[in-house]
Amino acid sequence: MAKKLEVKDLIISFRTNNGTVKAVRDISFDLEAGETLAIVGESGSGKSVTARAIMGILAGNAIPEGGEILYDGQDLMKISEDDFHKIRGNRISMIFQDPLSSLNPIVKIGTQLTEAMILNGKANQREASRTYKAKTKLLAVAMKNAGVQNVDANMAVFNKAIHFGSKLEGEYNYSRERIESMVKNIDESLIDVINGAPKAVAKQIRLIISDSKNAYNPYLVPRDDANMGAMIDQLKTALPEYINTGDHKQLDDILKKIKNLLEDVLKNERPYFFAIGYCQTNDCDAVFTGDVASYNAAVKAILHRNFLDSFLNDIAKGLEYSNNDAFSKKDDVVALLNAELDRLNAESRIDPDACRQHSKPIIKAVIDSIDMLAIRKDSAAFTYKSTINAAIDTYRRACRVEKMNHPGKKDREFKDRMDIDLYQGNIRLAHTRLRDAYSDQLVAAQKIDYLELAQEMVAYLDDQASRMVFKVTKRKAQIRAIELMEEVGISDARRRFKQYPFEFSGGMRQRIVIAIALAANPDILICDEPTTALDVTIQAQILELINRLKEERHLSIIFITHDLGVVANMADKIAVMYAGKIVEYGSVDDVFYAPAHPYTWALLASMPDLDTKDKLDAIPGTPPNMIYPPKGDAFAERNKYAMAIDFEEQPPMFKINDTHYAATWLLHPDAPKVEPPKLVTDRIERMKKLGGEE
Amino acid sequence: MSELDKKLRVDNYTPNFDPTKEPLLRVEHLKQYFKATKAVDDVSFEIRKGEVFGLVGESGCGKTTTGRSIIGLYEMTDGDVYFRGTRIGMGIDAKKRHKAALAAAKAAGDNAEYERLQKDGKINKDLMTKIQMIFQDPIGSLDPRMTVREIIAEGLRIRGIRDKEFIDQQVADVLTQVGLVPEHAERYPHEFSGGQRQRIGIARAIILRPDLIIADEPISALDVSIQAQVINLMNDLRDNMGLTIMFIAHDLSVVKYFSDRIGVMYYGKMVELADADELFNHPLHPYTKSLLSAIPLPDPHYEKKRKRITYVPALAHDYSQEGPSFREVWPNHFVYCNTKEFEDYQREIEKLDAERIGK
Repeated sequence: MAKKLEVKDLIISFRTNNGTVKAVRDISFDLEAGETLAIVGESGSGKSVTARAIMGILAGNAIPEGGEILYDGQDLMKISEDDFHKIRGNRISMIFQDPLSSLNPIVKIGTQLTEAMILNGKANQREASRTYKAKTKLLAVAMKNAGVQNVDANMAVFNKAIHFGSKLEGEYNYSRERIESMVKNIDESLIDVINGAPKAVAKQIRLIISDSKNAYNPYLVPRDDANMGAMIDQLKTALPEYINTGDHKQLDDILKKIKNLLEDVLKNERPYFFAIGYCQTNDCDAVFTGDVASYNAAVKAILHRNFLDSFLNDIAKGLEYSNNDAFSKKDDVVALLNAELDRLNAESRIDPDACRQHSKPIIKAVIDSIDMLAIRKDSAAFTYKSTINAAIDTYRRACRVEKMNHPGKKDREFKDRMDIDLYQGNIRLAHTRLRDAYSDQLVAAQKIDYLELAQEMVAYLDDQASRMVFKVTKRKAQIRAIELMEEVGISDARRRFKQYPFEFSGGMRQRIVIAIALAANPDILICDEPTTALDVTIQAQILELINRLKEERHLSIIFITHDLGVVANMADKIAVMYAGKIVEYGSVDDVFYAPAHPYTWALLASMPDLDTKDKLDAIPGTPPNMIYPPKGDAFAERNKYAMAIDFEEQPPMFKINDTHYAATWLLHPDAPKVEPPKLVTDRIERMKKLGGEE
Repeated sequence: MSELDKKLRVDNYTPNFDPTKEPLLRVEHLKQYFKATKAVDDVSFEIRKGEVFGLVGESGCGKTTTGRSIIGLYEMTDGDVYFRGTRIGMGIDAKKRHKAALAAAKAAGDNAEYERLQKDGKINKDLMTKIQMIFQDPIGSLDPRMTVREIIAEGLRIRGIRDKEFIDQQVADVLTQVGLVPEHAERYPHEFSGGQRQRIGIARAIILRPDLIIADEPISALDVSIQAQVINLMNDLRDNMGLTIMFIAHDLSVVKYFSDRIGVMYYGKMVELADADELFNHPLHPYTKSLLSAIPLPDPHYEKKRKRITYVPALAHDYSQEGPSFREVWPNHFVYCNTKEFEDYQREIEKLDAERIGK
């Protein structure tokens, strides 16, 4: 499975009047494609702060002290607000706890659902056009450098074909949208006919007729299609008859006929516009006879025979050249980094200014070494500049603070010496990480199939071109919004579309919030206690909905909750957080059937299930004050299994098996054997028996 | 009789109450309408001395309103509430009927009936002292400008106790009982954590040594680890003080764990009422079944298999021939149903029992 999101060594604090609250203390986890990660913990354990950091919506007094959140080649901790704007909501979406406060009370549900789609649609068109231009320009330069002949002429043919194709695609999209809207209106009027609402029927049929004028397209319903025209004429006569006599048989028949025709049309294969564009701009002999599939095959064959096969070879050469160029530069970068690391390792105390001086040429070399033609961005290289600058800045600041506190006593061992070492380490780590990433890439570079890459590139450019003409109109957004509302289980979506939030119940509101979160088709969905404000039955419905959507849309989900009972059905992996740290991390079976950390035991023992009869093992006391986080294991004070070392030193993450980790000294080989509380072992015993029985 | 009860002079009001024969609290045909909304519609139940009575249902089903109507926070639309055999509440409509009955008895010259009615209509407000409430929101229910001592002692002062030494003694007592220390009395609510605040709320409720506590979602707003502390505390108090608790909540696992008997409410009606084990073993009303099927458990394998049942009233019942009423289907097991369903339910219990024995 591919990693969608990586959180590494994340540290976040908050500046408050009473001191610095250390909310998240060095946590790391991965989120893989299509899986649900549940983060479980009490309030104040830092689970929401983590989620907000991923969304880039931390409060103003937050200090991101270190770590990275890697998503799609970018470090979300360091990118600018403008860049974040493209990710937030579009790629990573969030559902909040309180469905009341996350909807605007004075705006209709429909408007709230569609507004982001329309705005994003425009932005996406602009973005696609910009990417297309930049990539083709770079590609042409690379091909020329590689010594390919006739680059400009071939590029012109390519661009012309793409542009002509996308023009046709724009027209096609427009007609298709009309047809979709006609089908919706027909459905609606069929229902209204049964309900006996002639006024609504008349309105919808007028809409159908006006849409039908714009629905003609050679690849959908040809303009000379006599069938369609005749049916629309019949519809025009059937409507007044229905209004006057109330007899709806004829109207029903004709509506159903039109619907059948249109649905067949919608099932047709999508034309391959790039190839069609090529054929029509170059006088080829393929003739469209009405069958889209065979026409697609014909034009595709012509495109490949006459142009694309040789052009693909050219592109492959260009890509190979650009890649080799980048790799030779990467070699240089590795050498530079090694030299710099040797220099740094030789000094026990780095001089921040020298570090800054030395890092400047390296940064330049790294930026040069990035292959701009690569479709997938290289996260190590892209984040290097911001990472190293931030590391040096914090180090320099720390040095200055130290100097102010202890003027003229440079060599003494100070209390905060520890921190200085940490910051120095961060600088070295930034260099090392890039060096390792590049070394790996250099090894992998031997086996690249450039022809395959070239095909990928053409598909990518074609995709960008169709994005350029993918216009989200108000009508399209509305159809999509109603689809979404139906998808999240809101019945009678057409009517509810026009209502205000106060007209919805709590569960329905949460569904709307989920629909809004899904509107932009995100990869990652963060659910921050989505069901805490809801009661049991509604909670079950919403959880089922989230699970279903995850399956259908291949979402990766981060599910934050304080209720372990809820996650058994949701999660693939669980991270238990306490006092800003992950104390246990494992698959759902690991954590429920073989919990290892005393805090997880305590959480399980403190919640009754339907068979619990004994006294609950409540966790004594309250979570620690995170302004002064405890020295050893943060849970030691409330832990009845605590050992002396728990108060002295923080336990590392012990590995139990490949998927299961826990941070407790009990897992140390020298630790005494300890059994989990009876309540927990009993329940696991019972659960295993139950699982075997059924 | 304790010193406190002597000072409050409460027990004198109900000298004839016998907990072995009578329920502690009896609610009859309670109705609470807010304009057109029937928040609680004809609900009757009893709470016996020493038990925990759980009331569950989805939000908006009227369980909180029931608790608040009993304690007199709302003026009941109709119905009677008896506590320790003595009337403590009477709905507006019930009052009207009572007035008419009085007038009729007087006109007929039936003196015995007149006196009986007059005695029955007497509402004993003082007895309310023995019913206390714990609220859901531990932050909102404590006055931020009062110290903990003032908050806890308020009930005593309202009952006319002025003896400062006695009050301090009582406050220190209850603070220890709920797991706090007497020194906390000088502090303000904001200096405490959520769980501690809920303990203060409980201390305030028990200082008058009540017989009945109405706990309205006392743990819903608390953290998981704190929830267990509060449940254990309430369990201890129940054992030590002989409390009777009416426990309103929507978390069924907790209700099952904590309650002796459970009532299920749906849209203002009580649809099922039985002993906790009986209800979970033999859920009869379709709404109860749907509610039980929605409980999430900390068991991944079981959860993967759990099928949720949805309750659609229009499909589940056919009340076109005969309307439903609250009937005793099995000893101590009541369901809201009509005659046909009544028979079906009885057969269902027999079938379920047979299956269990077969296993």
